[in-house]
Amino acid sequence: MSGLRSRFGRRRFIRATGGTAMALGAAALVGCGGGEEPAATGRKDAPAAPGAPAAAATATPQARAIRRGGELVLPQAGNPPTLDVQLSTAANTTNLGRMLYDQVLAYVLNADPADLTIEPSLAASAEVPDAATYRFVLRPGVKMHNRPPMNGRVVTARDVKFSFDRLRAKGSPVAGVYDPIASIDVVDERTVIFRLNTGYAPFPSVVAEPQTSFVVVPEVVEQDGDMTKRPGASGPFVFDAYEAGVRYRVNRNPNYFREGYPRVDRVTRIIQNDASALIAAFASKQVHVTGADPVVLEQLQRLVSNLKVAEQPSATSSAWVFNTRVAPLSDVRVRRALAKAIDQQRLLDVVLKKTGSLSGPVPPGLGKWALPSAEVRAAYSQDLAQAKQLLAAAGLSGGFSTSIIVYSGQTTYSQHAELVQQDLAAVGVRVKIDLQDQALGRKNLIDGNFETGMPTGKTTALEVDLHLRDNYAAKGSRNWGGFSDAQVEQWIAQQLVETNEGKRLELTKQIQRRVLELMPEVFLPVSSSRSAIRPEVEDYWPSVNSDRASEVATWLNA
Amino acid sequence: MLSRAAHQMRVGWSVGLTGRHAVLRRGGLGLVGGVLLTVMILMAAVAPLITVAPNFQTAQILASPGGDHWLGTDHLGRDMFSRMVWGSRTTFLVAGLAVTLGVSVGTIAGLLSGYYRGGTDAVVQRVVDALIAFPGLVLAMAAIAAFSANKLTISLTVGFVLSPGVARIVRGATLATMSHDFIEAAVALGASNRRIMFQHVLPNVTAPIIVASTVLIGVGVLIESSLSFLGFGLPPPDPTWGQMLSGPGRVYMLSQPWLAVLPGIAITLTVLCANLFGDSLRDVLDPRLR
Amino acid sequence: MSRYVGRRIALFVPTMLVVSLLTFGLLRAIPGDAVLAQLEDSPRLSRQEIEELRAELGLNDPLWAQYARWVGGILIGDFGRSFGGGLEITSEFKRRLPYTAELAVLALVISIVIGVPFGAASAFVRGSPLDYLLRLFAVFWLAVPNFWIATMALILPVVWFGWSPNIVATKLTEAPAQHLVDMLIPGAIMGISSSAVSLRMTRSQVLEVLRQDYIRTAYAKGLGSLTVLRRHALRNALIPVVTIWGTQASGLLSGSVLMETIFGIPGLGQWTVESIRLRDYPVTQALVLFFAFATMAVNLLVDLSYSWLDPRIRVG
Repeated sequence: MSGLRSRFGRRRFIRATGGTAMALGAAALVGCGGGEEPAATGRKDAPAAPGAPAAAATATPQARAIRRGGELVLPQAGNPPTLDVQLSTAANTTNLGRMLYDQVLAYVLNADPADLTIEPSLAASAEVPDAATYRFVLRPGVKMHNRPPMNGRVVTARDVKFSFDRLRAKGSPVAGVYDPIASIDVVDERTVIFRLNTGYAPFPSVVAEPQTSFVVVPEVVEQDGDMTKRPGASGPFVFDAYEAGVRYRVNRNPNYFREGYPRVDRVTRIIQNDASALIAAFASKQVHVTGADPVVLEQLQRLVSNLKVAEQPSATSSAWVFNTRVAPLSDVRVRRALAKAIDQQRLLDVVLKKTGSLSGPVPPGLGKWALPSAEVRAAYSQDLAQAKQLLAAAGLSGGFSTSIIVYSGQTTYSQHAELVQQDLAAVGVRVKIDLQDQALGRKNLIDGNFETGMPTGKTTALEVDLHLRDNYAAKGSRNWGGFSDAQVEQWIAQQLVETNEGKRLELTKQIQRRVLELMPEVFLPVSSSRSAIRPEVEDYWPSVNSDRASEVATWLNA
Repeated sequence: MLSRAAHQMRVGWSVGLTGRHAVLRRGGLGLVGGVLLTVMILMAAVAPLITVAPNFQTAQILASPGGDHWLGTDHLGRDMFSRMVWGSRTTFLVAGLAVTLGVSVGTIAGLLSGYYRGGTDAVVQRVVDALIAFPGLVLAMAAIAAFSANKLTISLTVGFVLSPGVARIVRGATLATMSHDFIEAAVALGASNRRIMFQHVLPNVTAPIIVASTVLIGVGVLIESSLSFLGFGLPPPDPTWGQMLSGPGRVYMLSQPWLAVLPGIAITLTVLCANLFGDSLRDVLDPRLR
Repeated sequence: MSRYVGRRIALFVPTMLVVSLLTFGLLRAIPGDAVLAQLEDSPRLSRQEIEELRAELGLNDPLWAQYARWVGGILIGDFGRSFGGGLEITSEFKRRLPYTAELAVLALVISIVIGVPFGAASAFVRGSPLDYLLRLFAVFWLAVPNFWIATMALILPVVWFGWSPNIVATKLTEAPAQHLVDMLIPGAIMGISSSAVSLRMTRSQVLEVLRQDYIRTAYAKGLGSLTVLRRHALRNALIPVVTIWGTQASGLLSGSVLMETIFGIPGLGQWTVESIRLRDYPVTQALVLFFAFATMAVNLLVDLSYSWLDPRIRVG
């Protein structure tokens, strides 16, 4: 049964893909080889794994009969920037994409958000003959949506090649993550081989990350120029309608390859970002689920007494970024002084209402890849005396003035900034909060035209490399502060090709420790993301981010 | 020119306050409004004397009203009374500046526009028309995005946004005044345009200007809060009522309602008082009503 | 008369030109552009690629060329495409206009229906408790921020009845009744707020007119109060009130921005805010032109109504 296992054995596989953030666990691969059975069904209805710290509260007793049909209504913060899921990595697009498309590999779908196992999805099996070669054999008979021009034809290896060639082409927002691909070869209808230039540890996880891996339809792109007019390929739902500013709708794909899924007939996402409107909508059954910070949750619990809550650790870090090119922030002692002046625990208690944790460069949502929180806590212990000493050593005993760019509408960041402002006043540092709208603030950060900032837009990916290379390599696209360190540079290059997972883990921790020491940014505490779920909703398994299609398993018990 | 207009306004106001039929003598809603408004402005003025700094961190987060903090504390543990009082300072400052600007610009534009009636200076009128036609909110959002959100930018843009309304009202009133015989008489007597405009027309359109100004103080406060709601308001930490109402406070509606209800009441009360006061002023100001 | 109207309409052209220049200039004075605004979470787009995307949108051309291209397009009826997603502006405009127009009409009707009769009544019973009550009512709704009323309108029914207005609008073609309810609530909120302005203006103008000689004459003739009000006072009092409607027509946009945001109505206001956030120049420019045109048209109608309402004012 365990196709991949019998061919390679777990040891060899782990060695080959040792660099992945989440090795393809043997358990998840059991039952995936044949392609007849729905993948991972053995796990789907299982209760949350015991001991999982933040398991979703929606685990269903096995005895319960699943009720099919109905319309699941979920909110979404804004319009998808584009309906072509390969042209944007915004969550508002990915939310749509993961319902309409499939991926070759995918994060396993179950009730445990901490389970970051990768399983073959469109692929029936994955082989890794050497560190630079990946061979995928597709599941037989997976059908495209039954609408023109595909008309229910079978998904082939050519579709996979086309999709990934498009993803790595110039102009693709994710081209960078596929730089190491030398060629993609179609062997036969069901077999495709990815040949890389070198070993590339992040490969399996970027192929499993929806933002970077949807398999689209070549003939649609060829006819229309992109996927915006006729979105959808082989995913669990078929595109129905989109009204900008209001909602989009998708209907159940009756030919979906995972038998018995999806369970609802229709999913509607309504576009609404106003917190009070969403509170009202949730309580009046207009939406089934809503993202809920602790404050929103408290209001919701007053209105819907038996709601369920799902909680997952954050996969995005929050940072207070320093522009290391300009004095006095170019002086590491000054940056350390600022970090020492801040009471991180208060940020966590007051702004995040004690839900969440301190975070280092890699957020807790990435599990073992994140530094232990005790280590972060030690690095960020508040010490005003030391802060003053450091400032004095840098010749700034009288303090100095600086500003923090905060994007408007980002209430969490602006509250962080307000508390930071108070803390810094105690060591004589005067801070001005500069509220800028997102386009302006982002421009100033990209241009290096800032002193400090609390920007959004850190990656939500589950691949550790995207949290390190983009931010701390001298040429990283999110290295707004101009940080550069030869040692970090070298380690980043090493971890990228390190196929031994243990060694890679060690390297990434070293990078993080070095970053904490040189402090190009001060990491702010991150809240765990929470969803409030209406009592009638079963098996809603929110993911750490948009990385798995939980709408597939959800059903409505009323 | 302006001093002349200001003089007319001053005369009007003092007559309104102390004259035979004045608000102070007649009492009623207008008096209540005027007194409350004065108290609020006084409190704003002496804020440092009556309360701690608005960002002073107390020991309690989200303390209920009563007890140590008689209006409670907010989500970051700051005293709500002090936030309210300091918030009024910024709010009044921004609204006051905005109305001053808006009424001055609007009055001049309206007078010119109504007086010359599309005749002599078509070019000036096209520009004025364009400004009037330009959607105010877009203007405000764009200007705030371009020049960053601070007290001056917001006051200026809100003032600018208010001016077309004033201009239209003044223009309408000017048109009506122009049809009176005494204007024709003045023209026949050979009075200069400027003289007719400011000595004959302006006094007759003062009442609508004052009515408009009082409404606009409220509108200024309301626009400021709407801009905050849309994410184009003043940055923290200096509180404004609009920011307190539209910011995180609105989400605490069911659990800690005072966070948003207090600034909501303050805004409502301010606008209410300004309007009632202005209404009464209008009743007594218009010389023809006596 | 028709010559006057013709001349006024001809004057639209220079005004629109000024508006177009102003919009074009103002938008480009805002730092940041569409490419950066849309970069949300796009890993590893190099500086060069950003420049290429800019070039693709024509953002690297000289400003005069961009302006000429835009105006040239409008002259042949082409408003261009949105930077975000490449939507054709004209067709998206057609989809969104009815929502905003519906809100505006609802608001205006509600404002008039409440404002004018209550305002006139208030003037007639000036100084009485009823007068105070009506004025308080009017000013109160003026005084409460719109978005706060909207929030209450969403939250309070939930607390009381477990029901709340829809947070996204239903399509007219899908469920007409539901659609009307969805639009009526935000429309009423806007209307009640602006009814305060109509009411207080009607009141002060009726007061003004009531002491005019011809009203005294009318009373002297022995006409009843209602007849005086209907035949003489109201019509003359309406002039400045109509002015107010004129200014409110443009003010309705800002009201509809808030209502469209909170109640999820896909109108022009929602689109305007989004386009400014995303620096979607073609969309903002087209919308500003439209709003400017609409405002001018309304104001022309207002000016024309002067001469209808008060024959002493002659136009032309």
